[in-house]
Amino acid sequence: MLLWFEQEITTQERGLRWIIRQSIKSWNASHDEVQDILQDVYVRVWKEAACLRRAQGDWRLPKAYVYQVARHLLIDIARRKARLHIENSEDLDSLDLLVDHITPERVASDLQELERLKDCFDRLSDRRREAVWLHGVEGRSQRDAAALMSISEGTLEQTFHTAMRLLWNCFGSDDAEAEAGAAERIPDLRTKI
Amino acid sequence: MSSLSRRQAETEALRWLQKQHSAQWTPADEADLDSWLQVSADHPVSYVRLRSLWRRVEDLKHYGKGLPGQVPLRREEIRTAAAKRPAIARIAIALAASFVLAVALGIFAYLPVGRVYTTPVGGLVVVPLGDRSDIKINTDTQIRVRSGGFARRIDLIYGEALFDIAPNALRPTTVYTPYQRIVVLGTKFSVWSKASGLHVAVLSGQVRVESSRSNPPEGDSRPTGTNQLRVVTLNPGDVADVGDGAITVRQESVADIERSLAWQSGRINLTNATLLQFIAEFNRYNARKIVIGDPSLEQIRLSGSFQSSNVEGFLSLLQHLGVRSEIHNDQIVLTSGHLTRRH
Repeated sequence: MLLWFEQEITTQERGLRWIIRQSIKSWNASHDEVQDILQDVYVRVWKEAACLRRAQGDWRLPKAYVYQVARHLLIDIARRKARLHIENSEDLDSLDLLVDHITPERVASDLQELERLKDCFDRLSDRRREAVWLHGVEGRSQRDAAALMSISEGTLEQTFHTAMRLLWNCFGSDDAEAEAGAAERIPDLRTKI
Repeated sequence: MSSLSRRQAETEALRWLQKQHSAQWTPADEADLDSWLQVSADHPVSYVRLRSLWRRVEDLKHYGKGLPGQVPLRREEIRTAAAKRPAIARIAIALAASFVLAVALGIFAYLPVGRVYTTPVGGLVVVPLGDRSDIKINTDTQIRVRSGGFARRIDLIYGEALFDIAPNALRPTTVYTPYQRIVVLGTKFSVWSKASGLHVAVLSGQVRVESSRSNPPEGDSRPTGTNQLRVVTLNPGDVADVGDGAITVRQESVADIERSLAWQSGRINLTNATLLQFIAEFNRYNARKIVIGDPSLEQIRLSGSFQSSNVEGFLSLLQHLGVRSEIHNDQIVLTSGHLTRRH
């Protein structure tokens, strides 16, 4: 179920983020709020899948279900916040179009996201970069990485942990989204392949 | 769902992942992880999301070109490393070479010859001019700077450069290209002298472009002005193309111009451009040229920002788009292959 969730559900993250931002841009949502809503969508999908598994043994939900959940959740939030209104209900309806297999623009944007991650990585301090590089990228054991950096294994563990948290925040932040959004608007990537 | 409980779940998930990647992972830990995952739906969700972050981090290896155990330099470090420690600047070896050349030629300062700065293919050099002005010199470019008491003359012999010139009425700056001269009135602008003509883009301030077929780069500094002389004054956002004595000017946003100047940080940044345009850009910065072997590929459209030296990264992107690359006679030939599917 974890694997299914990772491959089928969390891969919709770009589409989800886009729709969340579209819907709540009228009230200047913080990065944290977007993250919270996103997490909430995932949690609901996970719970539903877990229920299905108990009832029928098969938990696989269609990808479009993720967007349904997002739509309902956003409408709920909209009702709670008087100021907030769903800007473009057509956008919510056309969401299912986003639910698709791997497409050239998806691959291209994957690589753009990797570029973004590289930018985030470059913003880390030297020590954190080194810890992430040795342990996370090159896959060295904590002990080897710590020895190479001449620090204790415990220090490495903590440095790496902090670095990953920073990457996590930076990678999901809004300027990353803005760039990804710009890429999405280009219509003719899928031609001629 | 509160931010607090989400953060808590994320922290714990990351701890579990770290533990899984450590040497002491045991079946008992596996069981503990399983029960942790059951506690609340927040846990598996955070766990899966951080696991995919970890996988992306592993993918960063495609971007590093260093030796094992060596953390790749930051982009801005790549540019300055050549000046400080050529030994470690394997990546920027071309840069180092250009610095050496620049310094060697620098001893001619204040001689009528002036200082000559040359960059090889893939090079990038910043030349400070002293009075809060500087010149950034792009790949495959040569310029000469002559400073006198009352005027400063810069010859763009070939290639592209970005000029950031502080206003100075007492010592005006003029940029010469083989057939044009550009009178600077305190400004920031780029000039690219290419085979088809001259390309000038203005970011701030004002410049005057004077074009004349009969004005040689050397000798008399004044345009002869008898025939084919064209003069145009450019404001911020103006982009001028000069060819055969004719000047065409169009308006672009300063942001667009900034983007086209991504080479300042060693990058190529194109939006909605054809593969042909991307390749033309990469070929400016790399000795090994890319050619298209299958004309149907030429019009594929892409957007993105790439390190200009990272041809391998670009080719691996193309591979995902179904474009194969092979090396023939020291050229990289692109042909269409099958679309590879991931996930």
